[in-house]
Amino acid sequence: MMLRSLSADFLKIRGKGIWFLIFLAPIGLVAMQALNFGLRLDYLKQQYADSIWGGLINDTIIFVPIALYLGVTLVSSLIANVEHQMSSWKQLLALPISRTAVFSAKFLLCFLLLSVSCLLLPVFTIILGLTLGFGGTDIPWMDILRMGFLPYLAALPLMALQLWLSLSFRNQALPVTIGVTAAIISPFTLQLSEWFPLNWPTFGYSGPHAEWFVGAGILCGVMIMILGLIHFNRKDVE
Amino acid sequence: MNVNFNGNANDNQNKELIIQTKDLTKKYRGRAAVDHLSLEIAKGDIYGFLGPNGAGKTTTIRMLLGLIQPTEGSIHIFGRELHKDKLAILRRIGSLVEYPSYYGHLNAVDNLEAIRRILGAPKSRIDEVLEIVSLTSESRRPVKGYSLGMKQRLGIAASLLGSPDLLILDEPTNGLDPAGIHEIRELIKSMPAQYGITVLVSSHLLGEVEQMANRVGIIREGQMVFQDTIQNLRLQASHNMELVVSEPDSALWLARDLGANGTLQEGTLIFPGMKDPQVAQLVKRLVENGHDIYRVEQNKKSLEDIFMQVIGEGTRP
Repeated sequence: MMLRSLSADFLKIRGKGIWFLIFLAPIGLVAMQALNFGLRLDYLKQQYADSIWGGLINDTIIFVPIALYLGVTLVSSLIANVEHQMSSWKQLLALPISRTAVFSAKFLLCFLLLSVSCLLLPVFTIILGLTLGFGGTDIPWMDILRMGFLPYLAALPLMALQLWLSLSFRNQALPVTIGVTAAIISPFTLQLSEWFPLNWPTFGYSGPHAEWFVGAGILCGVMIMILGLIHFNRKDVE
Repeated sequence: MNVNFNGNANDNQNKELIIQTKDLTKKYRGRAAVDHLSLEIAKGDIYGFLGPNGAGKTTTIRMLLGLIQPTEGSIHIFGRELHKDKLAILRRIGSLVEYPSYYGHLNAVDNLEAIRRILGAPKSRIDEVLEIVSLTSESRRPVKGYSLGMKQRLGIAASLLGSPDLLILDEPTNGLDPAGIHEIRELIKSMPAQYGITVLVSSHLLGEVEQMANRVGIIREGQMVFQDTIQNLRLQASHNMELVVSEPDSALWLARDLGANGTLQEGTLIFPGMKDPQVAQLVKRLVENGHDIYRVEQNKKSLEDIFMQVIGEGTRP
């Protein structure tokens, strides 16, 4: 039943600019590095003499959490807005489908869309590296894939929260404000404890025990999703 | 054929009830938007659900569709309890709640496809419902460019997609021009006969409902104030009997002797709510007493007046 809802959701987001955003984010991140490396390739080659690929990953990963926070915020809001815009909730939820299926489908849709972004980031990064003439034989496949997915998994709590808020409020000002604020302050919260939730994506990739933060992200994300699901099941549809 | 005025009402007791609510109540912050409402809608009915704006029609309909939780009371649809068998019941209902819901950036076919995927209805059904609401030729255009009437028709098409046994339409003609209203009305009227669908249609306009409904429920401030056939609604009205006679003053006294309380206005005797036997008796006495009777007429109230009388009861002095 959830898959039916999901297939309907994929149809509904057509022409809404969501796919554009999904491609734009990794392209933007890689374009920044293209500029960074393109302008001072010789200097950076010196800096990262032992591993130029590692250097590329390190310079990219700095911006991944911000991009993730903006991504989950905008994608959640756009997905929710498809239903809010013409008050389609009353039509959708009067169909013979459980609210659990509707909510789970939206969550899965959001997750899958952002997964595409997270898959494209490593792909585009490798293309950039090869274009810049980094050796094709010593591509650190695992590290590049980890860069794409570990911070994402550690950012799941914010995704679950954003989707819940976006689906609950017709007015998207509150969820978008929260999400954008999280994105903007996230570089500065690195001063705080590594366990501050906004720091999880960063330490989920580069810390000494990255798996703790990834695990915490998945666990917390699922918990918030379940809370959202319970609320969605009970709420009155106006 | 043996017809009495209560015929339809009695039939209803024997017919299968499609919707039955008992003491249905919804409170918002202590104020009851719907107050112990008992709806009864039988198979094959076109049930007109009437009431002024804000009377609780939409709230009731949202409860029937499981969109909001009742504070109290029970809802049975197709003989099953709604909160226990919600999905099985919803599978047999098509609905249109207030203004139409649609995805403006998609065309009509894609809008219906999004719903069809959830219902699991056959693909061919999309063309069928577009045909029913005559939108086939416009179906490839984004819906945001549609007129309100077309959007409303698309909403009805969507409600028919799952081949429902019960249609719940909330103010389906709201905001339409007369031609659009006519079209939707004819469409609704054809539902029980052509497709065997029971229809609940809400409106704040009696004139609109009386042309399609066989039964009406009138709701005021969340409470059901009348639920019966249209014919019985007409009988609810108290008619004025008006008499024009040669000597109205003495005729009035004569009437008072008979116990009929009338008034004299501009030479016309007016007796509110006078029953047939009283009229006969009065006329007889007047003739016996040598009055010339020029006119005896019944001043009929329009259904609209009756509606106003029913919904106005208790609120007006």
